[in-house]
Amino acid sequence: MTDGHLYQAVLGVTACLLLASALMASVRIVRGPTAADRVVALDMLSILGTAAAGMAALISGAIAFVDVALVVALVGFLATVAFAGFIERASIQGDGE
Amino acid sequence: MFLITGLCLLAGALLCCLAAVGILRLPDVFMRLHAATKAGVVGGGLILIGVAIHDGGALTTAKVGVAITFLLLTTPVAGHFLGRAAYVSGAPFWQGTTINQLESVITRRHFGAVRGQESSAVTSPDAEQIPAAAVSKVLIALAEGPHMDAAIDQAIVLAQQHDAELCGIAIIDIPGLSNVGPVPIGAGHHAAGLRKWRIAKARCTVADVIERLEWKAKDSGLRWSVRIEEGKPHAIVRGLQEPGCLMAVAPGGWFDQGVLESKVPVARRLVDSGISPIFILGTTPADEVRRIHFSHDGSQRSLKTWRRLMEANPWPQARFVIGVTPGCEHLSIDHLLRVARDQGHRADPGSAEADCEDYVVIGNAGSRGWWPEWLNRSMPANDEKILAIG
Repeated sequence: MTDGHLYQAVLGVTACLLLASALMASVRIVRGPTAADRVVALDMLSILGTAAAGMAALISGAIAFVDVALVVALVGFLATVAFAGFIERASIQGDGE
Repeated sequence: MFLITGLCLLAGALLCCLAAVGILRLPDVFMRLHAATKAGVVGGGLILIGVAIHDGGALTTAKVGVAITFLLLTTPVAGHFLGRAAYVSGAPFWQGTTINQLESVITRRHFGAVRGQESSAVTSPDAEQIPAAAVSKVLIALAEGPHMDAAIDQAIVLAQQHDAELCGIAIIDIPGLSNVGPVPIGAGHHAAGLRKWRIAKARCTVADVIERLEWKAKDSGLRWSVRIEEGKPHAIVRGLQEPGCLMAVAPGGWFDQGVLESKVPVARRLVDSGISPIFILGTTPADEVRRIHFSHDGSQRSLKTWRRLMEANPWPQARFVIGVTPGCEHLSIDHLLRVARDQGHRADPGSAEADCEDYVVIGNAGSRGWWPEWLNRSMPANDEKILAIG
């Protein structure tokens, strides 16, 4: 087996592992039980998205995908912070009733 | 080169997978958060490093460097924020969790009994029909203010009347004292100093108030105790409520212990967070109160306030007049009158609004848009006349 074949195999295994991770995180999004659980899983998905964009750069050879990884990381962070603020505010307002 | 890239990719993917297994399998949200933030960042970072090594170009390496730095900077922030949100929203703990250092520091909402075993400081404030427990404990909030000494005296008399225990609860409002407003860049050091100074001063004041209570309590021969707590006043007070416990405050002093010189209507603010009823002591000598107007709106909460008032009655000389909140005139108050008769107090039906000479007890502060409208009209902001709030 040449270096090239081995490399292709590693790429395949990595992609499969990432896919499995994404599936597990999705299960947590569906199951909950609290909103915070879902946001944690969503945060994990955005990190997986960053990793997947890196993989895409390797497989396709298009370096532009690294920029995509950067943007996904940025958006994921903002989304998590926004959701966290939303959860906190909602529970504080609910408390006052 | 292929070897290093391959190793980075595999290690990264395995760590990502581990993080995902953690998210799926760990028992509570805080542990899941821990798995996701740590393993996720390292996993994603390793895969990006693999990309940089494979490509080898300076531009790619720089981009990857920026992306990884960004991940390392943002994930802890997001993680802490999310953890706080989960805590505040009352996400249940794993049943093996024993230490909660945020208890009574951050208010935690009660999340529907998912596990059934979680401890929470929040008790149901509107528990219908509390059992008619006699007053067994007088809980007085110690906060430096103009009426504190009079309130302590009155609480002691009250405890003697009911042969109850006197319990002083001194609270230092750490969140309130720590709030120094927006801090300009570079002034963090001074802000920290100011917070420290304020808290130290509040502790000194509290020690003084406690000493005054001790002197008086010792003379009275009562069973008495004092507790000192630091944290969020609402949560602490709420955690101390129990049947037979009468909550009393002195007006005009908040739990910043006079350091911030804030004018806060203590009772109104505590009631706002679900503690009821609260008796306000210290404004008027007890035997000068001749007529008390009780504002009733027919709710369970108002009924509870009335019963508590009848059981405890710190104002033995007073006769009671029951006024029904405008809009609820059809309500029958026979029940209230019966409770009063059983306890041996004089009570009569009266008009909806109190006279200027009347002292006022509000049955349910939550009704009719928070505060009875007529009260704002007839005695604007005159909290001296309000004796209890439910």
